Amino acid sequence: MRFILNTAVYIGIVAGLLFGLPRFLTWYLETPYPMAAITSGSMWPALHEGDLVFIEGIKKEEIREGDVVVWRNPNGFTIHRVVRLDEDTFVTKGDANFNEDSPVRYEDVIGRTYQVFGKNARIPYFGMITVYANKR
Amino acid sequence: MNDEQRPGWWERMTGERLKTSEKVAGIFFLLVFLFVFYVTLDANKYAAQVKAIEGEGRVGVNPTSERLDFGDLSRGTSAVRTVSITNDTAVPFFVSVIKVGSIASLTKVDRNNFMLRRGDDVQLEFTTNMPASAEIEKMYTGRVYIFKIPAPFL
Repeated sequence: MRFILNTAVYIGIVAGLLFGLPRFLTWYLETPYPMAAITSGSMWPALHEGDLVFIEGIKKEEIREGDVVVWRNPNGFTIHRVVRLDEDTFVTKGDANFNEDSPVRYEDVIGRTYQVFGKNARIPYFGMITVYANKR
Repeated sequence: MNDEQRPGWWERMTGERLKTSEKVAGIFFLLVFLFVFYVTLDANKYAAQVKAIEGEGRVGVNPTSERLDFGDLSRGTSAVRTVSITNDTAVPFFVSVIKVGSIASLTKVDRNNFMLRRGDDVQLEFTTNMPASAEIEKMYTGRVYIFKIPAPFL
């Protein structure tokens, strides 16, 4: 009986974490996409391939030069640094890239990387499954 | 005739006898440890390094056979080094390459996580690109491990 109770509590905790954590992060970070895996080295050394980063929702007027933002594009999502703000669009560039990206519309922005003590909050290697899946 | 067995080392040390399940678990973990130990010992290990230098299109080569030395690279340039691996045994190997250190993010290998069958000879190509965000005069170092895991049933 004790074993069954322990197992039930354990399963409850794991299920709570699996289903509850994304919902909590969605609510806390105010975005439907609170986590993202880094699948390339274009933001090295700020972000590494395989990192899992947290994304917070952001309004157009809150975007600043130097922010690392996530935006939606036809191929999926891109996480790059803002280098220039214009009226209807803004320009980004990966830190490790030599060229700037095409201008991005403000309405395509998903959010900005969540910062802790002024640094991007990231969990190394936790995004490796996504990286591996993308390469298959 | 005395049927009593002399207590074993474990029993003398702890005062308790090992159960059969504990003996089986102990042997299992010992075999796993020996397997991991063998694979780690048998792995090809290379020190890897590259230095970021100022300028455009500058590449300085320091070829050595003992290490993966990519020399001096300016931003936007790249260097390639190859490592040859051969399977001279009858047992197929599963080959896995792991890179660690600051050079790991800069270096790509053309082939990873593959089977190496008997008699196969494969050239692994390591390419290091120096990105725009590389720190000038900094030496990026690390290690490359090529694990050859025996996989007789694959």
